[in-house]
Amino acid sequence: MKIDSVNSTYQPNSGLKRKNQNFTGMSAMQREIMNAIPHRKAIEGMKSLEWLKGEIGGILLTALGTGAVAPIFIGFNPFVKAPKNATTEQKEEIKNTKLYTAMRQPISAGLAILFQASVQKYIDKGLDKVFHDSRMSELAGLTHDMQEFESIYAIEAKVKDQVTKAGLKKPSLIKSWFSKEAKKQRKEYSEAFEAGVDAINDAKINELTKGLKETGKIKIGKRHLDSATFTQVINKQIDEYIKDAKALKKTHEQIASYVERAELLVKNKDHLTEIFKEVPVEETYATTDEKVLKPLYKKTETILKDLVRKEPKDSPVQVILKEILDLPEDLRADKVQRTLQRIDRINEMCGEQGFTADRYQKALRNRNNILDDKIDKLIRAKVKDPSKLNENTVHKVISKVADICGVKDGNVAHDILRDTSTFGAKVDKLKDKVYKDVVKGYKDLIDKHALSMGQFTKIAVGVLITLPITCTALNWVYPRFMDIFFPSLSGAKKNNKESDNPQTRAVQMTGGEK
Amino acid sequence: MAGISAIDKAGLAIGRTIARSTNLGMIKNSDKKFFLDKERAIGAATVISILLKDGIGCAMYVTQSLNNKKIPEKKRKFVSALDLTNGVLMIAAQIGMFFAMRRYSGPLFNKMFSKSFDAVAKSNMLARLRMWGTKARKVNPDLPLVRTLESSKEFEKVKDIGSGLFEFVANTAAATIIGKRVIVPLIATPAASRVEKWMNKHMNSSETKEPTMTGNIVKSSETEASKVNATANWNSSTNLLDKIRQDQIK
Repeated sequence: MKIDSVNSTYQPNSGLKRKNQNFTGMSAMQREIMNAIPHRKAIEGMKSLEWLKGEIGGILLTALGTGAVAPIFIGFNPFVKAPKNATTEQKEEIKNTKLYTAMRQPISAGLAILFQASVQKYIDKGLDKVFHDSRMSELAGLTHDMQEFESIYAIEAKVKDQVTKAGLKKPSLIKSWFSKEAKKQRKEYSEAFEAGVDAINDAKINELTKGLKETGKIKIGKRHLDSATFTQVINKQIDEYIKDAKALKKTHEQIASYVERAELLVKNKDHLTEIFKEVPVEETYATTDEKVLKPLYKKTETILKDLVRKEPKDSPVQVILKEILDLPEDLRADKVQRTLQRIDRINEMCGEQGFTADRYQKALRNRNNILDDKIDKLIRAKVKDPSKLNENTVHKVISKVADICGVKDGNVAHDILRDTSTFGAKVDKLKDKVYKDVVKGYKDLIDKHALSMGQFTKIAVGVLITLPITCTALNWVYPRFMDIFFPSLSGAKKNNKESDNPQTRAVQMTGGEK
Repeated sequence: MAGISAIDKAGLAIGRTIARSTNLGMIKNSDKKFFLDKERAIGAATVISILLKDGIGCAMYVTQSLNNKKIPEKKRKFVSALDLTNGVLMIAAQIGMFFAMRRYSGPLFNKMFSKSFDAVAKSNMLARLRMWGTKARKVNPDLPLVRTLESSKEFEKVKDIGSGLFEFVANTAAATIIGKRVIVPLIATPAASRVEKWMNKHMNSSETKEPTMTGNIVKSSETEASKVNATANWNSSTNLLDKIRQDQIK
């Protein structure tokens, strides 16, 4: 049972104490999901190869392929053979040419590592410095000026210092392969490190949110986010809320199936309540101890199997029981409880007049209508004219969006909207959330623009700087390298022997025939 | 100190130029595309990067190899022919693999990882998260609710992370190792022989034919004759360095 981790997971800003963090940049809930899926180990295995995804990793991987694999398929290519009538000398020449050409690959790979890896490594760091240092970033476009945020390199250095001071050590990867203790220490270190980074980032978002609430502006050094970009950010956020509302809507098919199931449940309410009494729901909910839970799971399974046996084969309740038995053991008791809760909810939605299929269908459609109404209002709340967006209108738009997202407390038709934090009964809380979401949207925008600039720079540097250097270096190094280390392949050895011949010497000296 | 200050100044000047460049229309356009659809923009950047880097690289390698007098003439055309076929096939392989991976890695991932990410697995996971949340709130009622729609979004994000990792590993294994380094050289080498033959036919047609990888072998006496011809040609060279060399030989 993951109760301990759930507890720690949902403690806001719990900092270094958080658990189950194996993946950088993941939210606490995402980490919980990752830890609970059957393919966790396979994904972790793939994750361990992810370092190859970076620029350096990519270059090394390509270099490995170029340097170690490709030469074999060039040098010993079975499709290139000397013709049948070729002399031994000619056959030897073809073999030499293949080997000579194949040797170009490892040399090319070595040079790629030397020039490309060394340059690429500094592009990200360099850009990071440019856009976080106000002396340079203030000359950049507003959406590239990241001076309000700390550089990730600076944050990492700061957190590394904190974690080290807290007495945590990070053993090497190789050490962690052979020692369980080292593996544990490494995991603890990574968890603490990621939590520290998250805490700093969260604090900055909160600080900017506070500023936005006070001033209606997003501060960027001495400047503020321009109204056109601000409009873009706000409207994109409203689109996200619209998406949430759309996701909650039920299709005609879903409504039909809900009604069918509701009829089955309501008709058998008393019977289900009676037979489910035996299932240890409360006991299962009361503990988090796996040792206590395991026998409870077994007990639930025995009871459910027994109920299936006792129930007449043509009984509609068989369907419900089998569905519950098909679930993983840890979810069965929970499903029993939710099935009974669902019956109450269906009745509640139909009101005092009680359940009928029509009434329930109407209630479900009513929910869709409420959502349609919210979607319509959200669309209309979008900023139409960026030139009219100022600090006052920013507050107005955000308040309006929060009002639209508000739902009436105690209204059953509105209950479904509480399945997302986008909608809720407390409008003030929603308003705070919208402010924060707008700031997060702004952060998302500048991150994407930074990515755009990074890609652009890497292509430009690659084409204009590293590529010509690597090509020229290869052109210079390759023949010389071959002459020195593989003279028999390059023909230098043969030419040395022939150097007594003045005609041959002339050829060599002019470099035309080596 | 003056030295450091000069470096600092130069660094600042470069940094300011880079910062100013973000106001260029080309970069603003790219920014817009990354903001609207990041995945699509990364895809476009990858294809442009392959076309530009590998395309220009291929052209440079071919030209430089062809004109590199340090490479034995007998091998020069084959080396440059291989640069050409290798470059062209590499571009085709990378772009082909890129689109193939985009199309097939998702369905392949869904098939291989269905136990973790199919509709049933998702529904069970959402129920589990809600249950853990309820249990956690029993211990600490201040904890926020675990909401289905949000859990669902988080689940999809985890699936995306898994799928992204799978795509990377599959791409590395299939494209980077097998495709680019095994299949391409395997095809590029015999293709280079054909290109070399073509080069011999169409380029420097006055020159004597050399043995080629496709078996266009000429008698060695002809090769010897070409050396004599070559020496004769140098006698008429206008290059001063060549003249000095020729004097030395005499």
